[in-house]
Amino acid sequence: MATVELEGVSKAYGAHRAVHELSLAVASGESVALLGPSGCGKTTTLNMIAGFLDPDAGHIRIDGRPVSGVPPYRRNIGMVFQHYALFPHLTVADNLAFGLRMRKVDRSEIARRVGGALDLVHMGGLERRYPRELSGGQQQRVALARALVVEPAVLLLDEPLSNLDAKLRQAMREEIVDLQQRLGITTIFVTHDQEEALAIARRIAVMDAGRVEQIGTPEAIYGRPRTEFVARFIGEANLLPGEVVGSEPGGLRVRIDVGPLILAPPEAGIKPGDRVLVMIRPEKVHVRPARAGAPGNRIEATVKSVSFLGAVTRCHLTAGAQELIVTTGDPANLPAAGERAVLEWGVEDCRLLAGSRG
Amino acid sequence: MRGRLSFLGVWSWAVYGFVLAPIVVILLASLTAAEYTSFPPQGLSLRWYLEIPRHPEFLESLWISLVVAVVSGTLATALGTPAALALVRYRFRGRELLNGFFLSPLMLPAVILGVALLQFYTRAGITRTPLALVCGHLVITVPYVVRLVSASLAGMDPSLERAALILGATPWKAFTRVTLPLVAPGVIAGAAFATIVSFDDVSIALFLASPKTTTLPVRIFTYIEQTFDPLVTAVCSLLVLLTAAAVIVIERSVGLGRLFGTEEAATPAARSR
Amino acid sequence: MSRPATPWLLLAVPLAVFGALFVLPLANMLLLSLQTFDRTTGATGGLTLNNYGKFLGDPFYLGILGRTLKLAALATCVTLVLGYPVAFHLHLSTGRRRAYLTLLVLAPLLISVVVRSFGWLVILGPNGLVNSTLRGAGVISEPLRLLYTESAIVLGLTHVFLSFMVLSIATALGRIDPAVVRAAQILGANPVQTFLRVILPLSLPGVAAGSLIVFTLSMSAFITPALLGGPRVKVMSYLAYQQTLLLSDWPYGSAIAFVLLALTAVSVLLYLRALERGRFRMVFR
Repeated sequence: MATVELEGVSKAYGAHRAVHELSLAVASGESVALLGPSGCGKTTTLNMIAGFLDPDAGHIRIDGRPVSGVPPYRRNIGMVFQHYALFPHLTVADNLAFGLRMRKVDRSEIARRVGGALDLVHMGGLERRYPRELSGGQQQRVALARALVVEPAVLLLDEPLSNLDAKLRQAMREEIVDLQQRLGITTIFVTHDQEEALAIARRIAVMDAGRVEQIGTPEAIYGRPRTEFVARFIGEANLLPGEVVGSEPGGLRVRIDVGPLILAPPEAGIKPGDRVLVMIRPEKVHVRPARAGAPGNRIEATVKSVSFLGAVTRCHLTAGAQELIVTTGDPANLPAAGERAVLEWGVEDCRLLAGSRG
Repeated sequence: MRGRLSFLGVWSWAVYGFVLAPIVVILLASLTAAEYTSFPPQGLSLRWYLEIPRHPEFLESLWISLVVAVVSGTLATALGTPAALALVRYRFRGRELLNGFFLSPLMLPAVILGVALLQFYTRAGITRTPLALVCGHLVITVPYVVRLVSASLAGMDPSLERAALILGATPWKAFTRVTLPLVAPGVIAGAAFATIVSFDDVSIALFLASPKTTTLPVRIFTYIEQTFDPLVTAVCSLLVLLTAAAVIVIERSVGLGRLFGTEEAATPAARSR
Repeated sequence: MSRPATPWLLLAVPLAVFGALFVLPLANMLLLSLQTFDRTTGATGGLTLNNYGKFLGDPFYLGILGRTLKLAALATCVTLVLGYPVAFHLHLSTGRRRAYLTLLVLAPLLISVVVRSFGWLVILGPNGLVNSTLRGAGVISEPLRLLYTESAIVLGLTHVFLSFMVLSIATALGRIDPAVVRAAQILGANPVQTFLRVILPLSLPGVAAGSLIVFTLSMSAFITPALLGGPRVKVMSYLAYQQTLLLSDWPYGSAIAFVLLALTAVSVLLYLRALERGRFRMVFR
């Protein structure tokens, strides 16, 4: 299995910079997601790895070898396209055989490998069908099989699940993870769906406006986001602007703009005097009815609305101009809309992000 | 891809040259100073253009062609537009059949139409009149109007009309203020096309021709059958220049690419189809 | 907007006028084809199939039928070969260039067939472009007889109908999903393989449509074969013209016209049938 390295890769369309000095190293057998909103440059990056676009600057190496100048048909990469791009004029079997024929594999071997690949995606027996006769989920599997049957060094997926309905998406996610681990193939995939990225990838590169904001494991990205964008893009976040007023043995003391002093864990590069954003995930905040409080991080707020969403209940509150969100699995004992409440959280449950507002 | 592109490029430009050659040749040959048609022309002179006024039959034919063309074009548009509207906007039994029916004259050999019309109009007693020409041309021009207006209508998001209705417009208002402006290019294109097709037609006009109702293309045709002296090259050149002028006017106002579907549809909803 | 009467209200006048101008004459012609020519009255009653028999029984006339088919088929092949690269070139171009090229392809359609075919007379004639060039280069001393041959007709037909083929193919190329082309590339197909195995098959609907249009138009063409083939190299439409206008034998002329129509219709049906069963039928659904 191959490694993939991007170093300082840039691509611009006229004045618009689609990708800006992007660097990323994917280890052999690893699965990495490029996650970001539309227009962030993730698909452009994928297309550059595949060879459909040439970078304006920077290097791309596959298995240590630079690939600039190598056309897509010589890169030995497998790719699953967003709308599958199955050949409408060929049967499922011929679709899969295509890549093998290009590699001059002989007839009997082709038949064997095609059969094997179809079994791998649970589509055995559908060799003679045409793409038009298949459902979305089936087409997706055939696309996957077609990419894998040639035994590529790298697998690229462009928004592979975005066209499937929710239930199917869940099922396919698990299948893809399973396949990826079984085959141990280096995988890079592009998505705008954070849930998908969290579920499938071992590492996520969160992208915005052509740059990588943060690369890390799902836990790291979720629990320790480094920028406001990442905090907001993955899951929900409460972001309270404030200023660091002092350093203590337990962490950094921060005065939040809307009032209270709280304590947060130390963060590299942040010192007293800096403007910061205090980030707390909604599920880490606890709601108590208003009363004189115990020590710890707390803020008083008024409940705006309470929404029951099945597995969780979502509470929307305001403290002055600050919006706050709390989620909990236990809807009992929640104050109603209009009532005052106290929100508490542990020091270890919040993080500081370098603030830009102020 | 570079290498392939230049092969394609060279081939294509050679073919474009092939397509333009006869026209260019006529234009140049009409400038000959000699008595006979040759290429390259012997000497350069405009004498044959000056010769044209001395042959009033050509000018008469030009006039007839223009009159018939404008009248057929207008009538074809008046007939074809409501038909297209009915065929595109409504669903009813026989719709596909009627659509095919309106487009069928284009599938028929023009000669068949010519023969049939000659026979029928003689029986109806209207041969040797411009009316026969107009009627004959309607048969081959209405299909173009129906086709072009239909294409324009189909490319328009139908929910725009519904939006107008829900905002309080009556069906007539919705049609005139929303549909018609959006379909105008198709209607204009249809009208322009119908006029040009009528003007250029030879096959039908040939069968319906009489001394008083000889259109220009027919007169050119019969002239060429006997001789092709430079006079007719000059006449043909004028025809080419006239058509070119008309094409430029159409291109400026509507754009030919859009008419034939090689460009994108006008509305975002249609584009996402 | 969905009252059931409305479409018919809109269609009433167009349908009536069109029907009268189109269907009636054709019906009349069919009737005439079954009558007998009479020098004094034009045609006499008594329905008979004599005219058709006369045509189908005479090898001379059948030869003309065969020639018409042959020339139409040749013209179709030549336009396909010439036109496909042009269509591809058009498909690959963008922006203003594409607009101009489209105009270049379409504009000739707007100039009368007479003028376009006449141009070929000037090119191929004894004093025309070809002969003057060859004579000037010393290759020949006597002008070549290029006109009034079957080749001249095929050349003229190709010239007149090329635009239809190009547009048809270009449209079909435009409908191919670019992602499918990329899929072929990533699977290892170089540009030539991508073209032969993916683009060409997927463009076949355009090729079929274009071929159909060019074939039927060539079968029915009148002016071009008349000018470039003359009375010496007759095709079906010229025959109908000759019989009707020059010899005033309306019944026979009508019969010939209907044979032409039938032949064209049968060819189209056979062609469409073949497409339905063929290897790439999936592309046409």
